Amino acid sequence: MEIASEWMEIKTERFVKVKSKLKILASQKDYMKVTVDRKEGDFFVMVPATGEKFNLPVSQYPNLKEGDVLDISESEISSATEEAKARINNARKGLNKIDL
Amino acid sequence: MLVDAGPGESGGKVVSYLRSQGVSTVDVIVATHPHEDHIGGMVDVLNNFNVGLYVDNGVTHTTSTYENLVNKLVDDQTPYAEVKAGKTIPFATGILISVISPTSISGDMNEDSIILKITDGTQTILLTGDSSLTPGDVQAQILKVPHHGSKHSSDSSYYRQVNPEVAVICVGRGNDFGHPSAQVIDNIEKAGASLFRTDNDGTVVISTDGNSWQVESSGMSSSSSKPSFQPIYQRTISPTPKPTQKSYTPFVAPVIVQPASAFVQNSQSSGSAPCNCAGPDLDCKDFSTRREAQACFDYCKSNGYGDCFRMDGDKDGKVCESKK
Repeated sequence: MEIASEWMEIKTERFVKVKSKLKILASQKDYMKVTVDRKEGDFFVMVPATGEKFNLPVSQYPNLKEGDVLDISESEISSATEEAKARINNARKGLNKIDL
Repeated sequence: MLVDAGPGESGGKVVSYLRSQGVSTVDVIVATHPHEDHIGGMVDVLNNFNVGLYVDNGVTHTTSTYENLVNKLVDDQTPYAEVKAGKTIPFATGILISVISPTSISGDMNEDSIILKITDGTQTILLTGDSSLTPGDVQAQILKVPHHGSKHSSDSSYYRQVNPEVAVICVGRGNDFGHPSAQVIDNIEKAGASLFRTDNDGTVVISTDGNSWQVESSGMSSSSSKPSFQPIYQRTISPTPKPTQKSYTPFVAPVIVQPASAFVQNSQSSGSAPCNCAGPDLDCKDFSTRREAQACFDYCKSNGYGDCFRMDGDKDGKVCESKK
């Protein structure tokens, strides 16, 4: 999986912080996907694929932005954003669209 | 019509509240924008009610929250419409629901929120999502304050333009983000609007007949860990020329059965009703004297209840005649 360049700056210790939170939430899973839902004040609100949302301080993760999907494994943080966009856009094709 | 459904953890509360109001079908749902704190409760709502139409601004998100919502709408084949400024949302006769924003998508999810201007007779309600924009004529008696009252959501000029009589801040108690900001509260108070905030006031209910409005709030128990709509106190206000003083009215407890003599006592001291004609049922033994029973009978009869307690068996207009 390609590592997004903007995340290369995420320091190892910060990565561990993120991962440790997700490890708790993910329980037995080897990895976790989590999305930046929004910036709220001084925090990013993070929504994992499963489990409870949590906040990350913006100051520690200046390169994150709304909509980023992080795929966090033992060894790396990679981007799953494009994959999520494609999947969701595909799902939206099944919407029962009407015009008002 | 439901506008936004709060965060995921509040979905159950929204469902409970709608059920408590006797709702079985939601004609229209409007999602102002796809942040989790606005659409998190949607799947719960869609799981529990028939929904006639789901409306949003067409902005997508990459969260599991949004993906689950889209999958639910697809599975149910719920009619879905994207709207921008200039559209109106079909609703009840006489109530105009205009979409006044966004005109186009800027990429800022908050500012791209759908803003609804709801007009019923002379009354206007502005529902802003998280947008601080003021497109066109935004004057409204009732304002849902933008973005939970966050620091940069609404300055003093915003309130000059909207000129609300009531401002409601939808915000979680003890949230991590410092909402609402003291500056926004100050702006609202300087604008002369009455402020309601859901963290303090609980459920806020706004009613209008098209000519006037009323706002009621019911505080929720802070000690209860379970969702509850049991009022702890009530606060009700109606239009007065720009109310500047607000008062909290203690919650009126449920009707407690009292002996009739208590009502008579009240009657003598304060001029209130000698008994409660609507119930509970009374008979002669509930009154200390015949005079008290007669007072109750006369009062109820003159108020259209007739001989509601069946104390005038011989129909001569005199009750409890064996009593002193």
